[in-house]
Amino acid sequence: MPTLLALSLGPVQGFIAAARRTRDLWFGSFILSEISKSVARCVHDYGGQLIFPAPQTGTDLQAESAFNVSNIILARLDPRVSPGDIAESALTEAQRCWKMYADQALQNGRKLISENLWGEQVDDVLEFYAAWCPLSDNDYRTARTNVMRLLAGRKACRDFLPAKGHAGIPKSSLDGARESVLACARTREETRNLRRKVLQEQPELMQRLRLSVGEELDAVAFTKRAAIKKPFPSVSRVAADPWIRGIERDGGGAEQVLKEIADLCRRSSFSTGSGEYYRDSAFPFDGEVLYRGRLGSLIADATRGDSDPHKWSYGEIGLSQKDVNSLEQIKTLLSKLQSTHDDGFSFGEPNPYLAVLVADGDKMGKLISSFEDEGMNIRFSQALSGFASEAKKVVAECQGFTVYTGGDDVLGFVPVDQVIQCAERLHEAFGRTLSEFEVMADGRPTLSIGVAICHFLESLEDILRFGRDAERAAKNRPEGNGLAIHLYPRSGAPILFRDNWSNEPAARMERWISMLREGLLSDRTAYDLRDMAVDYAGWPTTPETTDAIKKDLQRLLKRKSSRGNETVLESVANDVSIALTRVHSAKSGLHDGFHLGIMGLAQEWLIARSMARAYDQAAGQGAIVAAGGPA
Amino acid sequence: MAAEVFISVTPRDPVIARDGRPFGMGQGNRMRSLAFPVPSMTAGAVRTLIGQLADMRFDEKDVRELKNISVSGPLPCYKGKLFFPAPADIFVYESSSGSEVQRNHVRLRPSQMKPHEGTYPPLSVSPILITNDDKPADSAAFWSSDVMGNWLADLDIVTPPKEQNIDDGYMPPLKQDIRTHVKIDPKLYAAEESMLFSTSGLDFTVQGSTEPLEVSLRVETDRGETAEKLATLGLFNPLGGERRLTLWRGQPNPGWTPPQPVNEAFGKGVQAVRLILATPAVYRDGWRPDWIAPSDNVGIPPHSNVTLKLMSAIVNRWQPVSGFSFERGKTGPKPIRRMVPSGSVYFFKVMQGNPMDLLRDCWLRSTCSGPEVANDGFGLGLWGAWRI
Repeated sequence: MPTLLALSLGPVQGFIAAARRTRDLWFGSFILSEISKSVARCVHDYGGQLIFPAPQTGTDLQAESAFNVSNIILARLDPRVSPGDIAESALTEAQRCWKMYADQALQNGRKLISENLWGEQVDDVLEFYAAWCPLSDNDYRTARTNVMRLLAGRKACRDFLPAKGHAGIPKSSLDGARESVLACARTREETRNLRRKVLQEQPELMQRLRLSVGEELDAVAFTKRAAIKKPFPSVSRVAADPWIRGIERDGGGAEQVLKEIADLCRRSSFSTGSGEYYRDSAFPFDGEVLYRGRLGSLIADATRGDSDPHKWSYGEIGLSQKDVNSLEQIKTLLSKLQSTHDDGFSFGEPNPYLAVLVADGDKMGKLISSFEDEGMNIRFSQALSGFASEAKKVVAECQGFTVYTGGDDVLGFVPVDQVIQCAERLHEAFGRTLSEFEVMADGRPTLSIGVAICHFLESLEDILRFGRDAERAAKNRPEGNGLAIHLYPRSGAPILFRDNWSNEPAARMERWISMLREGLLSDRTAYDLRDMAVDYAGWPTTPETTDAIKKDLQRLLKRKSSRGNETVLESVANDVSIALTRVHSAKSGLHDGFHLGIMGLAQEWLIARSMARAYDQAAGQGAIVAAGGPA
Repeated sequence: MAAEVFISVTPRDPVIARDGRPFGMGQGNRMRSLAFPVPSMTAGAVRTLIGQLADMRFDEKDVRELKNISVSGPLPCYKGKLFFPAPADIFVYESSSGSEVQRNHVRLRPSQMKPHEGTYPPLSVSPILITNDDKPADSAAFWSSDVMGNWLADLDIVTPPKEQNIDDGYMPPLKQDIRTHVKIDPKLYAAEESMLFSTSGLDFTVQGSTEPLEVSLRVETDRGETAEKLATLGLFNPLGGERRLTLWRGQPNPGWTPPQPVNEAFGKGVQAVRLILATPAVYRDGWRPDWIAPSDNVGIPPHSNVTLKLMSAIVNRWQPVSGFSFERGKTGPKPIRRMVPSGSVYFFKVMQGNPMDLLRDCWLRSTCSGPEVANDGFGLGLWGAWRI
């Protein structure tokens, strides 16, 4: 009888979550996919029929192909092969793949590494579990349930060996779970000098590592930074994108100045490129230099003496006088772009907020459990791969980039003015790609999407946490199919919004944003509405209350609309009455006790208000002047 | 015989139970906290306090003497009742029909594989039987001793609710309180530019209650004078990162003894027992208790004479623990050790001896063999029954 084999690889947390920069995050996800791919290839080479993932072309399973493989693999095995032998070979293959990248990193940074610790850690990174059970011809469904339960049962006992701990060695700055493999000297000062010397001799390694003074890396973190050279966009580049597009849209002298800044970045060692993303942009570089505050810090760091304890990064230690001069030139050019004075282009400072988008299919486990035959599961796997490719394309078309698109999971970073449209397109693409499974899913399969809008100076750890919280909020209803947008202001409490896709929340948010941009809603209105939510706290939910609130709101809108227009007010009133009957957000702890209908609407407007700024910047100066709004 | 004293620690401020990540000028600008203090943190604080109360000089002899003091805990304590980490042998899930959501739970138990079934890497114990395909739902982080007593006795319990209320016996995870700090320039008394850092501390306040959530510790010492001082303790003492203040008081035993349902269940006679870790354990062999022989999975737990055979285990991914040593000559980061997370469950068959002895001799005693980790309070065991 054939066998059904399930394999699981990890640690996902160690590879993906522990990251300081988007590039760490992307490479961690990439390497885990490559290891999983090598395992899938091994199973396939032994004659296994892959069910998940289900490659469609001969090149899909080749190393570093665009095909993304998640960390769970399911395959049907021929009765003549031993599942235990295949599992063992698959583990050997996974270790070979991981060690290949680790060896590359070691080759690139050997002088910076304590090799004893390196060897100990590299051999003890991968987590690998397998389970199998017989697969009878007519009962795939039961076999799949059995094998996944067996795998879960095996993973319930995560047998591990004790650590080979070493006293006196600091722990990795990324997760603190392993000791640092970076070479240490007797004192902190000597360590600093030792590392500086090595990095000054190897400028390329310095560029790859972007190591802060005092930052410690374990073998996984070091491999993520040093194994391959591939630039990746930073969060600051995404945040600045609407502003950059606004300048490109206007063209002329401003775009020329931006290109001059890009030229200075290209010839410098303080700025990294954005890789395959933003290639056609006038500014395909790290966005930090476009923010005056960050630029000032870069210049201050570069001009500090090497022994100054305020010097943070070895990158800045390596800056030449030419680089410092370039930074000063950028400062002058930036001032010209941003300044509202006579000779300035009045573009102001780029909006420092970006959106992280985390999406996940609803009730996927239940849907897969309903498949009666493996052919259907294979078609489902192929449909999911199709969605993953499309998701990557959609996010790129929305001027963002994905860190991970595998199966029904998407993690991407998107400019604020594009994220609503991006979420809507992803939701539509998911339902369309999986429409074949509508009957089994009891309706078209849906995608819940969480969007967190946050400042680019937040740590990446926090940005990811905000994104995952938003995703959890989006899914936090039995029916799933939610869109949650969480705004994290630099100061103050987060503003949370959640609605079901069937209520067309994306279109509604776009409408609020355009009304704010056109001056039909004033900036103050959202705050006044929030005050109203407090005033109406505890009022009973009756038609009389709703009527009173509507009238009160109409009064407020009439008073606050910067361009009074009765027709528009009536149309808002209609939206308002719908909004008032809907409970907007999950129990958040932040707003409970106030009138949920009004508070929900106030939250929508507050988020829309914050997003409108990015829309203005993306429209360029021409659009702002035409609208009669401020620069 | 060593005297036994109980101490309650009431945090005045959020407590920072540091993880291993470096913090300091250029090393990281956030001091992070674990989800709950680890035993070595509270044991170190107790020994430092005892040393200070006894005017010790912390020389080699003093340190040796202090390390001999056994400190057990930390365990949450609310309104005089102990709480324990939620056990890993419960699977809580939600199922929905329409807009109706129902929460249920199942017990996870060892099973035997059927012919032609297998797992890899091979494990010398039976796998756990999962009988549900739903995703695990969020659940309480700690259970009261009443709830845990019923669970250990293999009795039915109410499914832990989504909205956890400590008064119902289910305590949610502690909230992390994140604060941003500035470095003050001592000459200008103003914040220094770019010198921002943040801390993440454990907030012990209970929403809607004026009763404090405390941490309970048990201290055993041969020094009668020390025991007396601890029993009548009442002072503010720093704990964890940033030296946040906590109120330390001697307290009567808040329930470091087996709950009644467990006594009754064992009294009826049991052939199989479960060990649930009330604090994380550090075993010499990694995941496997070091008193279990790998050759036949048989062994005798410390402090006991009952022979047990390990049948299965539910152990989540290891957690790192390290710390910073202030001991003379050893100052610096301590080596990384891997902990079996608290709440992990080991299933045993009783081979020889009276299981009641486990309740008498091993209840909330360390199941770790190394004297240092045992004295620090790692691997405190709760013992329960299961049907084999």
